Amino acid sequence: MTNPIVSTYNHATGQTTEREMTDSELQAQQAKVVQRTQAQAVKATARQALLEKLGITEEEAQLLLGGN
Amino acid sequence: MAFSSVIGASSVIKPGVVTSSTRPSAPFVGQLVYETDTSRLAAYNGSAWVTQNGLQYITGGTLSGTATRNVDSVFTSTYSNYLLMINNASVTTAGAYLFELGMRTGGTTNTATNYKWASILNGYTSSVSPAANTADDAFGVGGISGANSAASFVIQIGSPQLTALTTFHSAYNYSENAGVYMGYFNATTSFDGFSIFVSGAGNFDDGTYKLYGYSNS
Repeated sequence: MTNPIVSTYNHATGQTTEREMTDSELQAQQAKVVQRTQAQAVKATARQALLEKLGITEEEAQLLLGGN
Repeated sequence: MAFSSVIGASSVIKPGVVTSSTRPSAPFVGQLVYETDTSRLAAYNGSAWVTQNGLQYITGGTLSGTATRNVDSVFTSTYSNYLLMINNASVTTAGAYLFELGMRTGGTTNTATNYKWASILNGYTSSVSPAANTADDAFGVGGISGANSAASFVIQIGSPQLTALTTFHSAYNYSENAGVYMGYFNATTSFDGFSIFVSGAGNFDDGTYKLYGYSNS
């Protein structure tokens, strides 16, 4: 399986070059996604704990904050 | 008023070709020149040269088949501010992802953790929490998901080429939510290009981008 493609266009020369993403670049991106997902999970857990502390549901919190 | 002369349908009128610093020194009223360094027409009104104002198209292309689209040598001293339009973008991997914008100098994307951004967004069917990052390695400019998400972005980029803080404001929408992202690069770095990518989502399978410059005067 090939890695995703990195394409670079230089407007001054009009040339486009393409290459596969290196393994280290791919791993760095995947690590970033994992980090972001973990941060979102921590936030979701904190949000759920707060809802339980307040004794309201997700829908009631959304109504309170003006969301959907 | 009648035309004094009409040229043929296949004829050509070619104005003088100059640069903004080599305009004719003794012009006449109504004289036109084309400036190669600004890519625009200028007309002499009797006392000054008047140029086209507003947005000037710089470049554009497609996103499909690539995971990272780098575009170099587009931020110049000709313009201070730019408009980047991205339409109907989607990625090959299912899931919701962050669409990112990196800034480039000399063919290299700056990945220093100087990108600060914050967002306000809402889902079409469910609430979405606001987000922020004070030390990211790229700007978050909106959301995107797998095929058919049709993510679109209107991104204004301020002062990228100047030795000043580079700012951005992005309004976006896709199939699941819509909102605004904004922020700045927390260093006075001069950039000449940009990079658009979605970490962990594979190649884009659709989408186009177009870059315009705002005339300085």
